[in-house]
Amino acid sequence: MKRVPSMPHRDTHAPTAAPSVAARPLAGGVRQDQRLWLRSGPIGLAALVIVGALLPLLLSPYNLYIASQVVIYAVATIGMNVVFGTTGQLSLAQGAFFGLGAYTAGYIYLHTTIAPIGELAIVIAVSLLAGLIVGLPALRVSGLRLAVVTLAFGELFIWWLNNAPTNVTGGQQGLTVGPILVGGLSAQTSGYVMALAAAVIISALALRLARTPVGRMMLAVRESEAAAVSVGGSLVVTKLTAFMISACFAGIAGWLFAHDVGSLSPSTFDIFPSIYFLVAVIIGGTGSVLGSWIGAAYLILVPQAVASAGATNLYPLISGALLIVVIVLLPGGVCSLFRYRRRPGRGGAR
Amino acid sequence: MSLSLFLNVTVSGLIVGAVYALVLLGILMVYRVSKAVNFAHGALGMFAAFSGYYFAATQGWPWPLAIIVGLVLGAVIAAGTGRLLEFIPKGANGYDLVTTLGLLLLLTAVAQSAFGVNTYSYPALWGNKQFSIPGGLQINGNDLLVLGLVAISFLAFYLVLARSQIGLSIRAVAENPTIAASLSINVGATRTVVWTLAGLIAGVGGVIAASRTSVDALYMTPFLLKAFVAGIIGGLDRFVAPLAIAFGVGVYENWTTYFFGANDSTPAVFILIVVALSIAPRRFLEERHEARA
Repeated sequence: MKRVPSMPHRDTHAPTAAPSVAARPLAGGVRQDQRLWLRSGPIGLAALVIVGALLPLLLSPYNLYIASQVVIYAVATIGMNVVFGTTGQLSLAQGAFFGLGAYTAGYIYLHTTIAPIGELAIVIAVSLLAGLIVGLPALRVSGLRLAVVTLAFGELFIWWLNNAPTNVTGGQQGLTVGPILVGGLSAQTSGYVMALAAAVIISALALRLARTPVGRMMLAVRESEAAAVSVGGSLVVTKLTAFMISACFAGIAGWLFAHDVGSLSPSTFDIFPSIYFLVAVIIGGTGSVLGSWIGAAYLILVPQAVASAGATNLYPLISGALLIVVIVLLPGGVCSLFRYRRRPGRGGAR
Repeated sequence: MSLSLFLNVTVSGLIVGAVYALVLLGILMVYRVSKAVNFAHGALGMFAAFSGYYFAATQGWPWPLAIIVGLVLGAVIAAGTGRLLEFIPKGANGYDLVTTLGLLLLLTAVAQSAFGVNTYSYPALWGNKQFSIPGGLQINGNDLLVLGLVAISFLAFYLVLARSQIGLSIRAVAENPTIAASLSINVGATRTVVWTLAGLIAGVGGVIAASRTSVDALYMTPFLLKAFVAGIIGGLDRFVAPLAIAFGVGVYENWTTYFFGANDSTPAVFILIVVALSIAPRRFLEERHEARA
């Protein structure tokens, strides 16, 4: 599947290196980066739309299902990248946000007659609220402690899924959700088209985010909280916004997932998805939208490749080993392969 | 509530807390010198315990030998992980974490493919002998052995760190690797020693935990999580506070289990984290050397 590496824009946070000037030496690359971004961002998105629109015509239904999984995971991974890659907050609750979106969608689908668009609105509202709550500890702790606290939120979510009244979450059995049909398309194609539309919009928003004041402040917070505060930034607003955006993207991905896959169970959303989203961000490339797509493709396609080679049991083995190899050999993530030259001073003053 | 009930619930909580503290000790040691949280610490213990089980139960080795070989295996893998982390470039945020997560996935997968998804029962280390202590306290031999092993591990750790030449090097590296290197301390080798010791302690913790529960590839996860909870509340760059809190977490968990049932201990521990983080003074929460994960 060649669609994924087809967005050759530069690292999205490169043009906004200026606000974090206190922490990072600039080496005259900013203006050039900015031009490259302006050229490549829209081109990448256009390529995504064109290639994405052609895929339903080219792929078998099963492969289209796999493609829609890549697109859905890309949406959630972009969210993870906002909170971890851009803002530097190590959150391991992304899998729980993803599951919360999916279960909210499932509950509304099964118990109410709200139209899909209203369902999406409720999922977004619930996700934003969840992001706000999970983000609160980030105001007091950071780094690894934050990782463990957010992990605990995820554990609590799984506990709730298993112990809530059965007519709400379905307990260990989970929920069965029907597809949303778009126009006269098949269920499979509808799921794909919706996912693609959402992913294009969210990719564009994420690219745009790096150029907004709050996006720049996120980068500043990542580089140095003290420096960010000293130029008048608000840690409270910045961190909570990052958590809310990431939860919102994950919730939308969960909404798509619920209707595309159709069955939800607690084991789908345990601690491992959160780890996998982090893995996707780091393998793809921290702080980069292109990297999120590469990471999501890695998450979905590598297990598929291993399974089609007839060795399903080998996947966790290979994935663990591969992860370590990629980290040691490609410290900038896979998307660093697409950079024209290494940005000078990367992480130098951290 | 009778005195004997109070004693029994509290003391068995303390024994669980001792296991948490032992698991946490390895995590703290590694964190001090490498500034990395080892998410694979529990999996290392699981792997050591499983290897011991494998050699004894399927290869017919005597148990003590099998367990010792398992512990050595765990220590070797830990040392290898420590070496691997040295290759990660400085400032690569989150990579050490993902490396240990990768090791966690890897070890879990190896154990699952070797043993399937069944649960096994590990032999109790010292029979099921019951001791009655005045005051109505009942304690079995296995628990006594656990307490003994934990006490020996702590003592050995303290003696190494406080009294030996290598302990001096470890403290120097933990304090400031650059200055330590300029005093001709081999920083990489010192870190490897710490990782090896931590892997050994992880194995001891794994065997102890295995002797208390039924064993599958994920049985260490709850122990690791509780150890982490104690670590985040107490702080990762100290020793006394987090280890004391680990005992406290064991007692707290045992009492919530007594009152509300085992099923509700997850939210109870969670509430503990939230309350502790919201009332703890900010100075206590800020780490001296803030490590960016």
